[in-house]
Amino acid sequence: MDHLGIKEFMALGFCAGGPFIWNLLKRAPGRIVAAVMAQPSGFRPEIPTYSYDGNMKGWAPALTSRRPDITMEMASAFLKNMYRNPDFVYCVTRDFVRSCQTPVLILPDDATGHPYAVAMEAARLAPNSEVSLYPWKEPTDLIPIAVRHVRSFLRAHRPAAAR
Amino acid sequence: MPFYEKGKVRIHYEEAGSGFPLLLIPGLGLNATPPTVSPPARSRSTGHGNRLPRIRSA
Repeated sequence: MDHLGIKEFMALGFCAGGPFIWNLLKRAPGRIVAAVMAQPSGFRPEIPTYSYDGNMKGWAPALTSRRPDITMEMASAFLKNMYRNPDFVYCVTRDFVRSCQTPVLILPDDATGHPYAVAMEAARLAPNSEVSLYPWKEPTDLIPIAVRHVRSFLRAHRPAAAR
Repeated sequence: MPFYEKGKVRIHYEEAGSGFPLLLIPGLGLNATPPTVSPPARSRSTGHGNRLPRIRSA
């Protein structure tokens, strides 16, 4: 965002975008005015290596077949780095989430890589959180309700000068 | 196709829309494929500008 000359912004991330946003909130405090995390990734203690194993089985082979400059070893190193803290949302602590004053809207999921328990724990800990409905992806007539919630949340948190 | 590069990090991004910036991070199994909604429709419907990074491995 520095590259684009953008100081303040809002963020909306799906899947791994949830942990990425928590990391942005930690590394660039004060720049994200509000954030939405949809079907956020998280650690599932009953399947502790799922995120690494699943991506090494599905994502990495597809990536390396498209990109011959990337090896499976490189993909493995990338995933090990990404999931090196096997707990919670991977990249920040519960204490950080407790202290984070940024408004966040969480849309829980419960696919294997998107544990409902982690999404709801983050929502309970974050002092300015909101939770959308769950489930929201199926049946599909629920999706417009979730989208309306996302839009109203983002509009409500736009800085006054941008309205 | 714009990229931001710093050291070994290379990030593909797209810009669309107008208004207060909204950074979109698509997950989709780490392939980070940007959504296919057209920029004019997105701009009209949300009133937000957009940044669509595609995160590529180092």
